[in-house]
Amino acid sequence: MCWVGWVAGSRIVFVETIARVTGLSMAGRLTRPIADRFFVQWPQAQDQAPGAIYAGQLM
Amino acid sequence: MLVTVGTTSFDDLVVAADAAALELRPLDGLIQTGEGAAQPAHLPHQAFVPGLGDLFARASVVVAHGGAATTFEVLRSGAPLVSVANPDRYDDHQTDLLRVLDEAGHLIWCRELSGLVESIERALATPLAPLQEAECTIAQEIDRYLAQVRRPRPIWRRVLKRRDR
Repeated sequence: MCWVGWVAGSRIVFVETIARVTGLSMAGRLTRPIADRFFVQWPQAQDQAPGAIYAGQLM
Repeated sequence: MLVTVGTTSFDDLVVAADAAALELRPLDGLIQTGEGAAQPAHLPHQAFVPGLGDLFARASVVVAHGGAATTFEVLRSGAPLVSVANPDRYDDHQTDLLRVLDEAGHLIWCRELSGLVESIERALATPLAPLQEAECTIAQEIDRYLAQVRRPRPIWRRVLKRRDR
């Protein structure tokens, strides 16, 4: 879905699930290359995803 | 003792919790069996318990699968939590969350169902660390980002523009 949006020129903001602490979900891995902003919900998840933003926990 | 597998199926946990209930008597309880087929023999059970979320705060201990929604709901209720990762979930990802919350002392991660009784006894006896939730500024970050960017061109416009050069 995100790739469809990307082709159409949409901006992509992705929030990774809080369930992923040390790795990314499949959706996260697929979306990261085209995401304009990529949020993770654990600081340690940034190690696996350089450029990801940690801004607290959503749930 | 409140047992829940959320909205999923995790019969191994239901069976183990039912057996644990025998050993833990006179502790009474209730099991939400979710989509599973297992029928507990020693505790009352229901596929989906209405108002389950409100019962967490009154439970002496909650035994649950490692789903993120269940896990955070129980931790916020303040009830002692024993968590078991469901190995059938996609790429066994529940262990990732349970490991970090166990290390921080918020819950007891029961790694093997053979140790469930011992884990429950530990949760009943030892106070766990309350969850300290970080302030969430994701919404503000997205607002800030949207305020600063223009809408990018669709890819066909981008390709056409490149040809013009």
